[in-house]
This record gives sequence, C-alpha cells and structure tokens, in this order.
Amino acid sequence: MVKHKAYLRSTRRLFIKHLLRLLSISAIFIVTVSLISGLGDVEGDIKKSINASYQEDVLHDLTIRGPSIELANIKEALEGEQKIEEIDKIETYYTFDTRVEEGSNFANRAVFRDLSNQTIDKLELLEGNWPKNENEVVVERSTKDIKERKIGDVINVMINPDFLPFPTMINNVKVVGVVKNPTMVILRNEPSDYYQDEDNRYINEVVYFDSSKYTSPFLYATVSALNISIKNRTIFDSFNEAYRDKIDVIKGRIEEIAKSVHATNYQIVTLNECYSLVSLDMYAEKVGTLAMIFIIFFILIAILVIYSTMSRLLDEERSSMAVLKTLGYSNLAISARYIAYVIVAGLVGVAISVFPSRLVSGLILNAFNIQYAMKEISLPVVGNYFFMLSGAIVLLSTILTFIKSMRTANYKPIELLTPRAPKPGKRVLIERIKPFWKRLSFKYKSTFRNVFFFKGRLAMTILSIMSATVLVFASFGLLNNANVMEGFESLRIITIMLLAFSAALCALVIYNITNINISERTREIATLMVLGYRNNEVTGYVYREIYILTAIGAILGLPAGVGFLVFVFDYIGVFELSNVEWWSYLVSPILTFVFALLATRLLHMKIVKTDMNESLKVLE
Amino acid sequence: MSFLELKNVVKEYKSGEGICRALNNVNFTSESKEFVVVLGPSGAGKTTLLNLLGGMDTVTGGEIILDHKKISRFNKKQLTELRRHHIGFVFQFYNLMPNLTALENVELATEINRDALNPMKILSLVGLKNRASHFPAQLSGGEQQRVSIARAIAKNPKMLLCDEPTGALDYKTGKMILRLLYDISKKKKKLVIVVTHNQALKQMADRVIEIKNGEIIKNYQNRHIKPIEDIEW
Repeated sequence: MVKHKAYLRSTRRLFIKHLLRLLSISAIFIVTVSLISGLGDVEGDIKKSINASYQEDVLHDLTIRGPSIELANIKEALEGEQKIEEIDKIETYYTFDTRVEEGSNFANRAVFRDLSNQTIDKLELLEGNWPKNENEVVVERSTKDIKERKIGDVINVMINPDFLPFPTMINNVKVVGVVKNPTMVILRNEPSDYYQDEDNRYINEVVYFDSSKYTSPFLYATVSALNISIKNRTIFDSFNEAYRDKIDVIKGRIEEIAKSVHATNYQIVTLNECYSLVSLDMYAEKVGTLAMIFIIFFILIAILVIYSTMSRLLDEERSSMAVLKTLGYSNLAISARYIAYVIVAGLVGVAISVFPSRLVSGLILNAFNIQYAMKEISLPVVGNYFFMLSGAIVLLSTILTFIKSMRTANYKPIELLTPRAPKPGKRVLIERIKPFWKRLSFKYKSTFRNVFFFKGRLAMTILSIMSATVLVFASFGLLNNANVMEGFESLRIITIMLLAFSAALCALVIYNITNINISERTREIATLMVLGYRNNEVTGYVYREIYILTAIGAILGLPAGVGFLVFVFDYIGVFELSNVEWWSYLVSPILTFVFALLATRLLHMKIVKTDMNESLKVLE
Repeated sequence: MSFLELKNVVKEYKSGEGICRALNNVNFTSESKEFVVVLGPSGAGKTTLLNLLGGMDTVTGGEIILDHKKISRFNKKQLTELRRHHIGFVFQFYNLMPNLTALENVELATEINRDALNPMKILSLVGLKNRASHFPAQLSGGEQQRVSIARAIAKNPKMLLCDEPTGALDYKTGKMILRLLYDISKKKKKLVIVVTHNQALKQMADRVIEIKNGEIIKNYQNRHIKPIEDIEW
C-alpha cells in the first residue's frame, strides 16, 4: 500500500515535471492527426458525393445519340422482345449545341426533355418553376462559363447545329426557372457534345424546353438521344472497375441490338465518359494519391519525433527507474508509467484533433467546390479515417515506447544510476586536427562533442529536422506547380494547407528538440550559472547545438526534398520539378532556421530562469 | 574590517500562504586563508547560507561584505560577475561537464575569468596531470572532485565554497580531498568555507560555525587544530 502510494506520487511528478514535453507531444499529435485524417477523408467524401448524385439524381449509365428514327427503333427493340434485363429506364430527349457565332469557342445548348416526368439525370430546380407551356423554359444555373439568366428574361433561342440543314429560331421564350443538371458539375470548360473533336468548345448556355408541352414537329424529324439507366444501381461506386465492366457489357449488347435493327449512325456514350463527373473523380483520386503520400510521410515523422522524445525522456528517467527497481517494481510496472505518459499525450492530442481534422477536409472540399458543384452530402462529425489513422499513430508510439522502456528497465539499478557517457578515449573526428581544436573555446568543443558523440540521438534529431524541411519544401514545390496550372484554384488552396501544416510540424519538431535539450541540460546550465556565466553565454551553450543541428538538417532537407518531390510527381503523374521556383529552394531551409530562432527565443526564459540550486541537488 | 562579514543576515522564503525564515540574524566574520567549517543537520539553513555567500541568492535583510564590497546589495548582473571572478564553488556531486575532459572542465572556469591561473598547473597541483585528457566518466569519484576543486581554484577566487565536498566519496578519498582543500587555504591564502553535517570535521577547522534552525548556535575559533589524517569518524 505504502509502496503504491510512492509509485503513484512519483508518477504524478513525472507528468508534472515533463508537462511541457507532454504538451508538445500532444501538439505533434494534433497537427499530424488533424492533417492526415482530414486529407485522408477528402477522396472518400468526394466519391461519396458522386455516389449520392448517382443514386439520388439517377444519373444515366449510357446515352445513345443519333438520328431519331434509328433511336426509335433501338428503343422499341430494347423495350420489346430484345429487352436487356439489366436496363431499368429509357428516356428520350433532344439536344442541340449551336456555336454562339462563327469562330467562337462557345456553344449554346437547347434541350427538349419531358420535364414533368423526369426519371434519369433529374434536374434540380434551384429557383422559379417548371415550364407550363411551350413558351416557357428553364435555364442551367450560371457558372464561370455559363452566362446568367434571370427569371422573367425573355430570350430568343437559335438552333443551328452542324447536322441540321437549316437553322431554327425559337423566339420570345420566357425563363421561368433555374436548374442544375447533375451531370454538369464542372464550373468551367464544360465541353460541348458535338464538337468534341474540336478543341476548346465549351457550353455557354443551356435552355431546357419541356418536350411534353412542345408540339412543333421539327423535333421528331431530327436527332435525339436516349438516356438509359440500369437496375442494379448499388454496383456503382464512383466509377469503380466492376461498374465500368458491367456498362461495357451492356454497351456491347446494345450494339448487337442496334445492328439487328439496322442502325448505323448512332453513338453510345457511357457515364464513364461524362467529362464533368469523371474529371471530378480523377481529380479526387489524384488528390487522394497525393494525400496518401503525405499521410505516410507525416506519420513517419510524427512517430520518429515522438519516439526520440520518449527515448530521451527515458534516458533522463534512468535514476527514477533505478529507485523503482530497488523498491521491487517489475519492469512492466516501471514501463507502465511511460506508456501512460505517451498514451495520455496521444489521447489529449487525438481528442483535440476531432474538430480541426473535419475543418481540414471541409476546407479542401470547399476548395473543390470552387471548380466543381458537388452534390452536398452530410458528413459525419468524425471522419472515416480519423479513428484508423489516429489509432495507428497512438498505437505505434505506444509500442515503440514500450519496447524502449522495457529495454531500459531491464538494466540493473547500478547501471541505470551511472549516467550514459561517451566511451573512454572516444574523440570526435575534428579533434584530430589539433591546431584547429586547440583554438576552439570550450563552448565549441562541448558543442561538437554533444553533436557528434551520441550518434543515435544525433541521427534522430537531424533526421527529424530534415524530414520537416522536406515537407516544407515539398509543399512549396506543389504550390509552385499549382500556380502554373490554370483554373486549379482549388489545388492552390490544398497545397497552402499542406504548407501550413508542414510548417507547423516543422516548428513543433524544432521546439520540441530545443525543449528537450534544455531539460536534459538543466544541471549543466545551473552549473554554468554558478560558475558565473552570463545569460547569453549560458543560452549560447544550448542554442549553438540547436543551430548547428538545424543547419545540417535544413541543408540536407533540400536534396532529400527534391528526391521526395521527384517521387511524388512521378507517382501522381502530374507536375514537374522545373516548375519549382528558385526561391522555394531558399525559403524552405530559411524557414526551418527561423523556426529554430523562434523556438530558442520562446524558451529563452526557461533557460535564464533555471534555478541555480539544480546544481546542488542530489543526483536522483 | 574582516575579509568576510555577515551582519544580521535574514533570509525568508515564501512557503504556501506563509513565510518561512531559513536564516535568522546570522552574524559572523572570517579572514582570508581561514578554513571555516559550517556544521549543522540537514534543513538547518546551511545551503541557504552557502547560496547567499556565493551570490546565488539575495538576502531578505542584513548585510554581507566580502573584501570591502557589500555583495548583499548587488543586483543580478553584479552577482553573476561576482561568481565569475571571485567565487570558487565545489559541489557535492562535482558537476563536471560530461563531454569535456578534465583539463577542459578547468578551462571552463578560466576562460571567462580575468585573472585565472594556468589550468594545467592547477591540475598538476591537485595531482591530475596525467589525467588531464580524461573525461569525467573515466575518472573515479575522488578524481572528479579534484577536477572540480581545480576548476574552483583556477579562477583565483577570493573565497572557495564547498558544499559537502566529501559527501559522495569514500572515507579515504574524502580525507584526501579535505587535505587538499586545507592546503589550498594555507598555501594559496584563500578563505575556504566547507559546509557539512560531519561533526568530526570541526577538529580540523580554524573556525567552526554551527547552525540549527536558521540560527548560529556556536561560532568559535579552534585552538587545537588536528591534521585531517588524525581525525577519525
């Protein structure tokens, strides 16, 4: 009982003494989990929205276009004896794209559909009413390309596509409503149907007539389209392979039927070729791939930093561990303290990350909405990836801490009480250059030895700073590439977000390293103070090491960053290294160094306020 | 005027809601080249006294005068300069920089000092000439404490403050260290103040100051100084 009290008290003291470190581990969890779970959710959320639209708006799976007579025959066959079991509904409509004027890049579209009985590609009425007679129309909502029409506008519609022998004018129709076509999600460069062979022909206006109210016979003598939907709609999962295969099979069978009714001038376009939706899906996948690379990289860095933080904590805790060991506690009981420490830090971080991670994915989805009008879906409070990713990162940190603490606890108490010191006679390389070494003052000698003695620690520190610089540089590189891609405003926002989180992680990594360096040196700092070292001389003792390590890490981060970017660009198949601006190479290491300056400034008081009595304390 | 004078020194700490008086009206004087032993049980105020003498803390009341300077009136910067140039400190746990060799640890103090002595000569003086290039981890406890003493005296300080200098050492090594400190006070003409709870040490001191509950209960000159080698405990 008495023993346990002591155990609990010393554990509480562990948390209090290393509170700043616990908080900085939590902060690393927050930055990492918020970004990676937010990033991880983006692709899934977009696909979810595509799926929702496919189900709720009943997107067409195939469209057959061609002369009205041929299509009428195909439709009759499909509805009659040659029925394809998988097909659910067939809807006829008429669509005409007309150049705005000779040589223009834009086309106006006139669509005649049974608006009162829509079964496929259901238009959403955003404002106004549906047409009540043949003099009323609804128009597609305005986008960056599609011009704005107001309810009440009276317009003239010219129908003069290339395949019609003469133009038809439909004058004085009144706009009574504004709609959104679920297949037109892109807000710029929605391509025109009939000019796909010519580059850059975009839709400038869409006017929908209600074909059930329209009596003019010209329609039925021309070209029409059949929208076809399939029955088993659950097979669709954002253009997955099973769906594509299935549609290809159905397409093949329709072609056979067309042959049997002697149709030759038709054309089948599947949903897989719907420019808007497919480009959204592909863009989401690209962002998803990019996200995955960054997620893995962020996890690796976070784990590295948390592990090195914990193993340095364990080094500082050797004497406490020795005391507990002599009191008869098992290795497991001793390790439990540190497991608890890292789990508490992790859970605090994870709990705080719930909201920001949703914010991240929300902001990225908003960025997508600059280019695409996605169907709105309700997102769960906690993202899909949240538990998986945060669980993985907490678990990994815990396991690594457990291994390290068990290994440390396994030493005999007396071994734990002997401070870890350089091996006898060991010298750093520069010491062999005698004339140089002799001239160095103690401060530099000490710094060089600190830097190079503990190779494992050195490697971990430099690797952390290097990786953080890689992230910052890679984000700048992506930003530069996003800048040259026209019309990809959303990409810029995504990369800016990446940059912000990379910078935050970089700052935290360096802050954490500085904080650890100070806390490991408390006794040395107090001793220097007793010896009469002035404040700036004492802080210099810690800072020099930080600056040297940061400089090494930041500079090594550049070639590593280039390598990383080349890999990323190669993997996602877009962007080029040549687009990375020269200043990115400069700013990234400088930023890393600025973070080191900030961290040392922030922790300045911690050093200066060190109690000189620390130097008198009994070695625990 | 004596070399070191303490007049009505009071030191109070805030403890929780109340105030704790660690030192109450402490008065004593001593001369340079004196070997002073401050005795007392733990919690008596020994460390507080040491902190005040060493310029690591400031008095709540009273005065401390060292070599005609009222150090109790010094501000933080002046205290740093005082420690830098005039105070040598020997710690119970040596407090050597683990990544500096014995010689470099001495240089640590001399580098910032105006009238420092030659570090190598001082190392020879404490008998560590051959160990100069060893790291603390390669030295025994006694050797480490000798480095610590060398570091303190290489500054050529006015006063050498030693906090339980033998506390972490075995009996024989402890005696050797005390001999070294005693010789320094005599040969180098330094005021050496040793704080300890070891009653036996009063036999070797020029002056004995005993504290209890923050007050001096005895302060006398020792007429029958015994060499350390003859003291047993």
